[in-house]
Amino acid sequence: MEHTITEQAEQAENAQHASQRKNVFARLLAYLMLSKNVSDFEENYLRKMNKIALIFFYWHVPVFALIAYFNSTGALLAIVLTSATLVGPSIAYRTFESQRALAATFGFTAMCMGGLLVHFGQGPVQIEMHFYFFSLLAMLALFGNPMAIVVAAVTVALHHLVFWIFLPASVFNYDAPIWVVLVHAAFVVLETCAVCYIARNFFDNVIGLEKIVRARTKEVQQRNNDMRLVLNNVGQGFLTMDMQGHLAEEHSAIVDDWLGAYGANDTFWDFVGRSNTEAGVWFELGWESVCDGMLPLELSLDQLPKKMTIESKHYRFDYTPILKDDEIEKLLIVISDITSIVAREQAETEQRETLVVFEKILADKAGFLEFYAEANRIVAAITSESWTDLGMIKRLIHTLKGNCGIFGLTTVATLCHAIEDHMNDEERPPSKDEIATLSGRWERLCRTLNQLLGEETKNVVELRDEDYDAILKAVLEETPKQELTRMITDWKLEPTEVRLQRIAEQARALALRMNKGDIQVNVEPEALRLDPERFTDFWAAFIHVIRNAVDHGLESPDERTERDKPENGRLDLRTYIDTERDEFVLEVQDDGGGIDWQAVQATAQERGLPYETQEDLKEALFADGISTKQEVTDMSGRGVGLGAVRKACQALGGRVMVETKEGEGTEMQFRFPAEVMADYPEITI
Amino acid sequence: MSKILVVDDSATVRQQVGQALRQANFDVIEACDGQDGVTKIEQTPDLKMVICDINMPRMNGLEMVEAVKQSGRIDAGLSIVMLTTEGHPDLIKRAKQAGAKGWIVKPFKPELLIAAAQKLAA
Repeated sequence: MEHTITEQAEQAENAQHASQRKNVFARLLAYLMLSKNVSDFEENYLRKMNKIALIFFYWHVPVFALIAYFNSTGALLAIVLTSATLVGPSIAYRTFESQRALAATFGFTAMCMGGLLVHFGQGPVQIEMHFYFFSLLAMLALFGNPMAIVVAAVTVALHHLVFWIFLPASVFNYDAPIWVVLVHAAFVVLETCAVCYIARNFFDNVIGLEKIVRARTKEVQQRNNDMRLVLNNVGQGFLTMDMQGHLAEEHSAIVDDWLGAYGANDTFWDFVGRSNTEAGVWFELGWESVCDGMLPLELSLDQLPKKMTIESKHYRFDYTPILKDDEIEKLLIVISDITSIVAREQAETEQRETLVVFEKILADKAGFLEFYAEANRIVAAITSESWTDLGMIKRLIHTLKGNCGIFGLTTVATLCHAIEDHMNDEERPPSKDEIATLSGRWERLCRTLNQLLGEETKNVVELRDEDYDAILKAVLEETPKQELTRMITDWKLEPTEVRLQRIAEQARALALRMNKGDIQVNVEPEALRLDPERFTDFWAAFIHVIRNAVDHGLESPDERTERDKPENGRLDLRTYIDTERDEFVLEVQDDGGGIDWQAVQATAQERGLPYETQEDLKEALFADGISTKQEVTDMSGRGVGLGAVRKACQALGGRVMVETKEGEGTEMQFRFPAEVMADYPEITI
Repeated sequence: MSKILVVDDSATVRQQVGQALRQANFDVIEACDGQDGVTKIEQTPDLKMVICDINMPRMNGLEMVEAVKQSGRIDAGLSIVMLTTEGHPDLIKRAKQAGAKGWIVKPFKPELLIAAAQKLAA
């Protein structure tokens, strides 16, 4: 077994050696033979070199004739022999298609010329004439083709050998022994090796350069095509912008679909501004800040517009600075279509909203129904465009916003807030689009609400256990009809306690939302009842008073602590009968900072209202558009609220009284004639 | 410690800005409107930077920047940065023309506010 293994190993080794030998030979051949492809550049180059070579060979005729003449070797013979040698190359020059083959032929021709020179240079300088072989070999490197040199080397070797044997005088001027021939051959071999190497390198790196360039260009083009393919198919917009705002031509194709095409001279803000003016203006301003370098780069970049809406599509912009030596040199802009994300977020918001509404309905169905009925009326008024002036539409939107805020319909409140912003900025009524968006949202909400509320809503009288017991007892005790009627009528009236408790809860929620802490709300309703339908408008507007008290009246816990007040604010809600005047009184008292009369005065002055006396200022407080709060929030601060309350109060024959003490708080009284509380049927006995 | 003045009519905003800057070791002074701001600037010769709301009672941010510019303090190296909500580009442009260094959008990111303060009040 072992023996066999050794044999096998030997065989394998031999095979390997053989293949290595073959390999070396193959590699040498590959080195000497150029690859078949001839580039245009090589073709042209060889054409030129071959032409020069042929002319150069023709010049040998007169030169050799002269040399032959001076060396007395026969000028005529020199002309005849040299010309005869040129016949072959001349025919080759005319007929050969391959310039490389022609070059190899010229390798042969060159050595023939060398032989002729040595022959006609017979005499004392015959040995020196041998230098010409070496010069010619070196010159052949210009063809950039090792084969031309190999052909020449073989030619000169054969020439020396043959002539040394048959006509030694043609080669040597003395009786040279064989080793001299071998010395000559050794020199030729050495030079041939070097010249082959040079020719091959000349071919690879100079003649072949064009090929290399073409290969590289192709590679780059391929890479460009790959990149183009990516840019044409990627789902995001990629753009690069220089510091002047000009956009590079390379960008993803989807940008054109989204924003249209841009020209070479367009800046990014011009380009974006065509789709969305506001985004364009903000970008230009923001980019100016990036360029002037006053603010930190990350801050300036953070303040470039991040979102943009075009028609119904939403886009997000991400910016990445391209830095060079820590300085921004270019900006990479990535645009993403986030329409589906926005839609999903909106759906989520709406779902959350539904949940909140559901909780509100469970907690106080009657209160919610009332809000719902009123909100429907307001939306109808807004969409029917029955409003007559800017003040009225502002009030409608503001009331809707406030009420929706309280009942958790945040999407509607947000829409109203945006509309208010535009109305206030531009002093114009809402646009048709804005109204359509609002009513669209409201309609969708209504579908959900109607499902939650069920069909039966209004035409039911809810009876509490104690009322049921009371009426039963009264009947059994034969209470007079007058009293029974009153008791039954009361079923459809709303105890002010229910109303005030509802308001108290809203006030507490409001305070938490406005960072006013966990305020204490006291309710002192007495046993009074009101006709809910008659007071609907008033209660709807009354929310503004609560909002005012919480937002403007009560200070934040920090401020209160600074002023040595209890940390959490207090709000008192009372209803009672002023028997002296026979008036129903609704009282709201807070222990906040009081009304800032100076601010009211300043605003009144600004708006051209009278502001001299305290009465003027109280009047101004209830004028439309007065708010002492500079920063508007989604809850209050538009200055339309109190005017609406007073109007609703006056509609019921009531009046408003305000008392305020700086630093201690404000008290507002709404006084109504007692008879508007409810109508009781007259009983005639 | 560099001194920075925060001018805003909202105590909440003053507190938020002040807190962020104090944590970054700045000495923060507050003013509640433009007039108050101008007074505090006059009283504080070594003030390095002012962060200023635009919409304020009595004297708004723009008027304040213009007043400070006239007093020569901006040219003497006082940096003013406007603090603004979604705002109007026109107001920002006017503020920059009047000499403000730039603007910061509310609600601000504390780290970016601090970066701005470190760049401008150093």
